[in-house]
Amino acid sequence: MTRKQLQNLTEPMFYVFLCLKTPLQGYAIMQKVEEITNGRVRVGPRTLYNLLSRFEKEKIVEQVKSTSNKKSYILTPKRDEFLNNELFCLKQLVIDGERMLEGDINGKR
Amino acid sequence: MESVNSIIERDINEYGKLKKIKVVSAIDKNYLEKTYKDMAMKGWLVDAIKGSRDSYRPIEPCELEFSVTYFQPVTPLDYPDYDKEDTYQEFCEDKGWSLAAKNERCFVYYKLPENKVSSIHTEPSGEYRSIWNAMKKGELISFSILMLVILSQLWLGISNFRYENLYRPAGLLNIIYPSLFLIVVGGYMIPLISWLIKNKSRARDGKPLIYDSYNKVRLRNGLYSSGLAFIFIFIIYNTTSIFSYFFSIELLFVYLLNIVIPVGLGILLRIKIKRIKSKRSTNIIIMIVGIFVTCAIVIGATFSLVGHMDPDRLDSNIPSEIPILTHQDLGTDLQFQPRYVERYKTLMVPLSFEYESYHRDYHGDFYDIELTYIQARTEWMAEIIANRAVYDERRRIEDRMDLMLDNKLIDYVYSLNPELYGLDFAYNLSRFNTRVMLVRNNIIYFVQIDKAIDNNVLERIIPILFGESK
Repeated sequence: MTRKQLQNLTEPMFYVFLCLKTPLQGYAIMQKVEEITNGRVRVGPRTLYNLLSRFEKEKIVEQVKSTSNKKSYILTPKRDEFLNNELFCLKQLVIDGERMLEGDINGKR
Repeated sequence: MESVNSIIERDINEYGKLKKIKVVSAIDKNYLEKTYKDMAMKGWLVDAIKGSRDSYRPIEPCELEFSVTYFQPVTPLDYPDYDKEDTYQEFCEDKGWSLAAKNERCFVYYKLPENKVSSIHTEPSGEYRSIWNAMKKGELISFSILMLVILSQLWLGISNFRYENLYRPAGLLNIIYPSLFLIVVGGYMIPLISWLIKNKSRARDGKPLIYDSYNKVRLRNGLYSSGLAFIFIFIIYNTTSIFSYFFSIELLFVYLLNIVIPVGLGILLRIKIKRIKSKRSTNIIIMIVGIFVTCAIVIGATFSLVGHMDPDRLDSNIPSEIPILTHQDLGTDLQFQPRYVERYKTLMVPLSFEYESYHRDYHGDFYDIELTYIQARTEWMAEIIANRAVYDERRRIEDRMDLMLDNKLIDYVYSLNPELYGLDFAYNLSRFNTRVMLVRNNIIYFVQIDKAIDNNVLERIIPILFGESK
């Protein structure tokens, strides 16, 4: 599975992926992550740089031409599937967790 | 928004620039940030980092927050990738961090405290990785090579150690210099490795990295710098003492071959590889000239400290109260003066010298005296030298005897009768009764005369060497 390439998908990684459905410049990515998480998750410039370098190396993200001199990034087409898989895994994680917790509580009761 | 630079700018022509030397490693990030912050409060902003030297420009004294981040080429044999650097810089500046200074290893950013933007590193694992990479390409690689060189030197020094090393500066240098270096470099590496181990699990668990306090780093780096300074002074002291007595053009060439050429070639090789890898041209001629000018200055400074060789200096430097053994003392009427061969001084042996005197008479018989005088600083040092001499000579005799060795020969180095002459030790050190060692009151003599133990020769010379108070 694609997960092999990025074994530990961290929160910042996931939110950066989410932001890159459309082409965005570095600063815009950092701002958007803060915005969609209401400031809970913040991605610093160096962290973003490391993530993007790694994603580019893994061919998950690519650079696109931008009107300004600054670089823009977007997920590579086939990585849409990867994102959907990740989302599915996370959803499943929540469902399983809730089911188990409820089961525990019911059991104790 | 008004740029931070326009707020703090000050006229450089009025205040000039400030330069400071620092000794830091990649794990001293917090120390550097605090240092730059303190300097900004005093009205100085770091604007260039060149190796261990920081250059500051004047600003309005104010509180600034700094972030030191590491960003270097893929390997030490690469030029910086300016495209990647620009991207990184763009991210930082867009976020509100201004670049104060950078070099091939790190970038220093700053901002006003009221500018509440996120830190440059928001993931401990990324921060740890950047420091690990910086150390891997910097301290760890250079210190590992250095340790290898030091250990090889120490091993060579120990395996070739003889009692002469205890009173000859060159011999001592072979042991003490690598030992000191090992202590200093090893002592410096321990906190670095300990930091890496301690923070690896923290970075993996997403916990903030722990850095040493400002005072602890100051103490550590102070000790390291003092250690290096001590070694440097020690080497200069020993080098000057060696050159004082042995100045020769051959020695200069040995120095050139051993130090300047390998270092120069190493640097050139690195430049060449970098050039090939990047396919960019650089002004190599300027760098080559720079390397050789630097080497010439270092050698020139060393020789300036040594001064000129004075052939008469050796004789005049032997204190007059020290008796000189001549052939008349042996009962012959041959007229000649001894010739000084070498004179040494070390921390443990304040004075030692050697002289020889030889003559061929009318019948073609050859008379030779070789004498080594060693004045040990303490009794225990005299004992070490004497015992080591016996051990070395015994081993040499055994080596030469090879398989023909028998028990009698193993005990060949036998004790004389020291009480008879008021000596602390007296040993015969040769198979043919020609070399003896005499020790009294921390003074050791090695005397080499034909048939030294026979014909009462020893009884003649002991009172002369040790004066009346035997």
